[in-house]
Amino acid sequence: MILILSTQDDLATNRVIDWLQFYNKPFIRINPEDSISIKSITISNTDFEYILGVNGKEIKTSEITSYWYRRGEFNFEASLKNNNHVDLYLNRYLGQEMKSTKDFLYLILNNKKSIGNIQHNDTNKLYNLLTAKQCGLKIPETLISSSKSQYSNINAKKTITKAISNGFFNIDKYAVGTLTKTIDKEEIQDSFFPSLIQEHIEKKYELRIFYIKEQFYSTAIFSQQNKKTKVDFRNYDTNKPNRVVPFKLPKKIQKKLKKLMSILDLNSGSIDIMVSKNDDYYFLEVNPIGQFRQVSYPGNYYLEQIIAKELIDE
Amino acid sequence: MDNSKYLKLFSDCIPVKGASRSCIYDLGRNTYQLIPNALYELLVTDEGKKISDIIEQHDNHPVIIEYLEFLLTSEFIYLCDKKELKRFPKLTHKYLSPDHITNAILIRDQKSNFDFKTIINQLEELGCKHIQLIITEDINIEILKSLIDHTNKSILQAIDVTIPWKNNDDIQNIIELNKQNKRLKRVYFYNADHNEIINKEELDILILKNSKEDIITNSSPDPSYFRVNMTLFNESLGYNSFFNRKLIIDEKDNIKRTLDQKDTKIFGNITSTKIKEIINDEGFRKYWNVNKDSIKTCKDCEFRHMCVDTRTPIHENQEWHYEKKCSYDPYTNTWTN
Ligand code: SF4
Repeated sequence: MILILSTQDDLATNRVIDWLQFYNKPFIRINPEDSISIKSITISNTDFEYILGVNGKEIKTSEITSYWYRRGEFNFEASLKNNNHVDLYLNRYLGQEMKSTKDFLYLILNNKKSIGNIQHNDTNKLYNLLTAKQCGLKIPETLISSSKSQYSNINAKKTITKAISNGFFNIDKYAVGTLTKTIDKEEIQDSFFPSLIQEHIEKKYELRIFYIKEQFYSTAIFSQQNKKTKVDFRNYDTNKPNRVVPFKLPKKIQKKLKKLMSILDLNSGSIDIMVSKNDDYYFLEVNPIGQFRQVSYPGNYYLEQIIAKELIDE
Repeated sequence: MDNSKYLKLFSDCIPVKGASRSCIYDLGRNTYQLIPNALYELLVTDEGKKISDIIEQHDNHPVIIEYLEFLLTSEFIYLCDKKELKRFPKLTHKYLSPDHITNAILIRDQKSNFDFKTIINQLEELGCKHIQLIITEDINIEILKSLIDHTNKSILQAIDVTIPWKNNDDIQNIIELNKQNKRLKRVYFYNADHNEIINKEELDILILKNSKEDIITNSSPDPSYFRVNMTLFNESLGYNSFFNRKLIIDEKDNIKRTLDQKDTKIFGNITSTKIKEIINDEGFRKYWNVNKDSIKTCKDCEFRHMCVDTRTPIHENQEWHYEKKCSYDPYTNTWTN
């Protein structure tokens, strides 16, 4: 049985599931909306079994052959919230108990063949950047500072600023995404919230790469022709979308990226690289989840099938 | 234009040659550009060459420079360094699908069964994501609601509806239905008193003077049905882009492989037959592989990878052809109506 942790509206998951169905492989998809209960965990001298209840069905972890962490998480808490007669502290304690049980499940799942990993969900961009540098990849000059006086420390003529974290936040129920913006030196105040300032690289094109099973599937995004997308290609221009074409990564870049992925312990992920006018490859970031459909479709790579096969392969 | 650079065609722009003119299929932008055959030849033979060499090779002919500039401003090509050429491979033309049936056409008349439950369940099991509903007689548009309701929670992605035109109220009704279920993507009204196209966000309404016969039976393709996209392009290289993985259910719930009235072959009835059991039947798949490259005249047509053709091809004298001529002549590039 293949276990998939995802969210209800994720189209990429649907397509992978279409392939699992095509190959007639049993799977279970768990979305955050599903409530999960613990039936029993047996750890004896002769036996081990972890049994979950998912929407009334029993799932034995021993029967899970592989696991895909796409996004979301197991929602164990539901049963707890209904106990409103229990006081706050006790509730907190019960939460702790539940967390250990849940963490145990993640550890068990870590020992299975898997794509992605919930513990890697929130990687640290700065650490990734540093590690990339240590793997011999070029990175843009980067400074995190809160004052104008420090600004001159960055060795760059033009700079940009972008999020240090994943760059998304919620206002009520609306998700807000932040974008990359160029910095106007005149507008910098004397002091500000610690922000990431990065060298602006005159790009030729940007690469979006999906990595799985030690293979790179890359596309090049040509956005320079179009004023609107010069800084961040997520500013989509729908009428005349950027050109996105398959790309072959140079072997020496592949080698360095493989090293990086192995140090970060990521067996799959999306990597962003910028190719400068001087043909230098600048590592920007790696995302353990990533929108692989943005690579799969324009590259005609059928990554959904590759992911399904990887989950099936024993 | 930097003449020291090398000519590279964006790999999502694919030149297709016709008998007397060619076409660039822009798969990234879902559009196409007709070009003279001379330009096709240039793209095919001169790709990867240095711009200055190309110009020289053609004796500095001003037309060549004009061509190159046109290609560059239209963003069909880009100029790269020699060492970059190998970084940009051609797109593969692999076509794969996990769906056993990708598209189903349901034909309904006044007497048909409008309880869609069994049909939808069966189609879902086979991975079908697109349904085309063709209504052949006047019905109350409200009846569409039952289909819309049944598909509200399904894996279906798109529903197209073809229905006779009554009056302007129909438009509002369709817009309402689309609000309830976004899967309703395209509505064709036939037998209308005028031609009109209405685009509303993700909904297209096409009001057409065409008759029912034009739409359902052996009419030749209308350019307004031409579609350029990667999936269709790749599929059309190896398969017939209309018949491949298509299922037709007629007014009486019979399972068929074509829309052709003369094709009397029936593969069971949807109320009693499991589609699963017939999809591997060779007869059912008869036309799936008859791609346009193997059909007389179409194989010389520059539109052959965007032209979804509902007509049933005929095999005679070791060659596939259509009984009725297409209204487009690829040898003279003219349309007759
Ligand atoms: S000749 Fe064939 S491919 Fe060309 S438009 Fe007519 S039917 Fe389509």
